Amino acid sequence: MWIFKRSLLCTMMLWGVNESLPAGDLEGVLHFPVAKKEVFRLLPRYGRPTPADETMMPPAREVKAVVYIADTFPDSTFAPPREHPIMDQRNEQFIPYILPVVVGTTVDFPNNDRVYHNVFSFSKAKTFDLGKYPTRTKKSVTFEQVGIVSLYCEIHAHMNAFILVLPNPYFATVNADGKFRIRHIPTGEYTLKVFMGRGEEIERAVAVPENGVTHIDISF
Amino acid sequence: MPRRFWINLSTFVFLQATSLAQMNLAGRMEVVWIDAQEGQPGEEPSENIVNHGEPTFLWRLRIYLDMPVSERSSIFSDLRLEPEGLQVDFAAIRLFLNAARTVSVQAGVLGTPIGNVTPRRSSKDNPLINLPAMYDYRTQLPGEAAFDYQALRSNRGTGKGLRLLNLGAYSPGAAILVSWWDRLDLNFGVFNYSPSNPYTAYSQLNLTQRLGCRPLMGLNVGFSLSKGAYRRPAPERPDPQQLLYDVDFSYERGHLSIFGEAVWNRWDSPVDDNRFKARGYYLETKYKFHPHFFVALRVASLQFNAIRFPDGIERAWEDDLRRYEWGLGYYFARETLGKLVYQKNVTERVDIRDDYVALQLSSGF
Repeated sequence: MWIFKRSLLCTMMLWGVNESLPAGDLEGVLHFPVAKKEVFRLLPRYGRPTPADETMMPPAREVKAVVYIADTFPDSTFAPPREHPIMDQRNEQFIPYILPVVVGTTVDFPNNDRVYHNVFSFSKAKTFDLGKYPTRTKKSVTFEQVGIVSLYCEIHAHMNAFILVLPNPYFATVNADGKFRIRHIPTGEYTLKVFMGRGEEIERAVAVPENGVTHIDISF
Repeated sequence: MPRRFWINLSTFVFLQATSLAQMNLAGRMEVVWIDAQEGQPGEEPSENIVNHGEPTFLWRLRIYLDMPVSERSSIFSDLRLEPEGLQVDFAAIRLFLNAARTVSVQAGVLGTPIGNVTPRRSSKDNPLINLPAMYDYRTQLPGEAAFDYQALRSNRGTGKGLRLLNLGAYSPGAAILVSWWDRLDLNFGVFNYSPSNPYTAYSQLNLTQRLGCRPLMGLNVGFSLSKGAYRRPAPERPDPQQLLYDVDFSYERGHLSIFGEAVWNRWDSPVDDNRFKARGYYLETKYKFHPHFFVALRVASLQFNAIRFPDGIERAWEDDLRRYEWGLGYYFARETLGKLVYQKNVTERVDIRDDYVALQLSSGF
């Protein structure tokens, strides 16, 4: 849960910027496509599979989508959070699968696995390569450009995650239940987008009234 | 049993199993342009010279068909499509015997467990184009052809014979793999081949093992031993033996990777008590100085002993080799890699003029 608490804290810090403006909430439900049938994980040809770490937090991985307001707010400035959001590496997985951050945010990449990792990205929004670093150490990257950053591990080809660098802090992560709520959005008409990682991106026009809550259901 | 029988049986089992489980399909297309020197004027060019020095364009499609069958077992296969046709390189099942997944058996057509090149031999993981000299360089010692000291005197440097370690050495076999405390791995295999000569089925099985340890994260050290027949039985000597010891290490940290290996090898003469010895090493480094770029350097050496020829004179049976390779790599995308490589060879007795420059592009899916 500590990843969620830190994310919530970061988001609250950002919300403080526009507290004085008329603002409403946007909530809804995403109806995900039917998940593919679970299959067994392929074992390695060489060496031993990475031993499972009992302390990992499965719910954090279950960020299945991010819902966000795609518009820019030219009259507003959104300071990045002082506390760095975390893209963790455990059990040969990135956790969470999708990490939304506001532009200018520095993200920490701790290696909490029992093996080396080498995080890299060739995305236009950020190209970097952290090299190989051992357990219980971390490296950090600042994301200065809005866009989608696809993350990979050079050593473990199956590892993949996304950092979604957004122009504003009006976003919410969505878990398997599909529910989301974006709070304190300034009144206005916006484009709402849904990012699910690899696959389609959906957008809807939404209007946020003064105060109150707007509800929207989205199906794929 | 002939090797082809085992390959066909493995392929049949594999194809049957594919109907029962989900298949993971991946592959890698490789194209390479090589311009090698043409050898010494007036002499027969060495088999180690690519296409006798003619500028050459080669292509290869590798297909990896893998299937998880259960929580404890998976089936793997490598298919290789080249202008010459389709080959099944690797087809094996791996089954873990305990819940902790520390003990497993692997059976089928397998690669050698010797050294540290096997898991990183693909064009994606190999920072250069060729494999290290001890895996790549052909000596003149014949694996199949009749053994003849007269030919041995005149064929030095022609590359008509065996490699020390042949990574084309996929062969029917079985191996048990045991891991202790995340630090120590034992791979003990029984094969129907020798590490230097994979193309013949022998009457005697070959025993190959590698003990690997990880004293600290990023550092791996391995000790390998292989013993078995490398030629068909001859009247003078029933089972000419190959005995091979190998030490390998790798160290990786940050953007730097270092790999090294040393080998000591002995082939028994198929006709008398002579022993053809070879020792060699390589040291390889790769440094990624930009997310898209890396440089690589490899230094290798092979040294051969002197034997007593029928005329009573002791002389080296093969020319010593020093090989220098350096390359520049560029990742166009995550799975698409281009390399520019230069290889320089220095042989002891005479410059056989087989240096090359090569460009390779490989893309995976």
